[in-house]
Amino acid sequence: MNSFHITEDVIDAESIQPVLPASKVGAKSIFEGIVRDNNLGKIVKKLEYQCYEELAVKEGNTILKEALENYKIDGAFCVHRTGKLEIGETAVLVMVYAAHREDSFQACRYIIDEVKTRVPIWKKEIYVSGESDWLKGAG
Amino acid sequence: MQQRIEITVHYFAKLRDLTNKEQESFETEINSTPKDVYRKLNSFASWKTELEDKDKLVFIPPVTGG
Repeated sequence: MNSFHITEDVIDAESIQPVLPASKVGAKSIFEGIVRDNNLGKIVKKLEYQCYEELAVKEGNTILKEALENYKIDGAFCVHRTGKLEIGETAVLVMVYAAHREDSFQACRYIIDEVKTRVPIWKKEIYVSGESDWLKGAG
Repeated sequence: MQQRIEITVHYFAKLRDLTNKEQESFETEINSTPKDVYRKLNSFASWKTELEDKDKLVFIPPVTGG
């Protein structure tokens, strides 16, 4: 818990078991970003994520630290995939534990928004047409 | 003769496709800046930091994770 990870393996929310004092937890928020089959009018076949892991882990952990400081939450976790992903697979997962739902919702939103604009990860879309392209900004 | 330094340059996303390399060693003059290296590589960047021997220089396009 309270850590940011990069993985090439399939992300399974069920397998993430954060260690927390059970007596404090009243809410758990999970956000999952999933690979969809279209973007900007093009039919997407798969995605490829590339990452500068050294800096991504550092920046990701800074974001989690900010969330823990700025919201009344008890735990925050984030994992992002790299490599080639199929349609329907989870690209990123954020998990937040708190005493109350409002804090867990807000912190979860903060973390995914910051990850998308600050962590050095890049997304390439591979289209059904055979073309491919690196996306140009946070979307 | 001007002293030279060796740095490591990392490429990501579009720049990796263009160079067909993840990283490479790069020799440049002492007191070079990322801008100087960029000009030689025909890539981009513009900071005034003086590079030092064994520095690692990473060119980062706008991020698109999530």
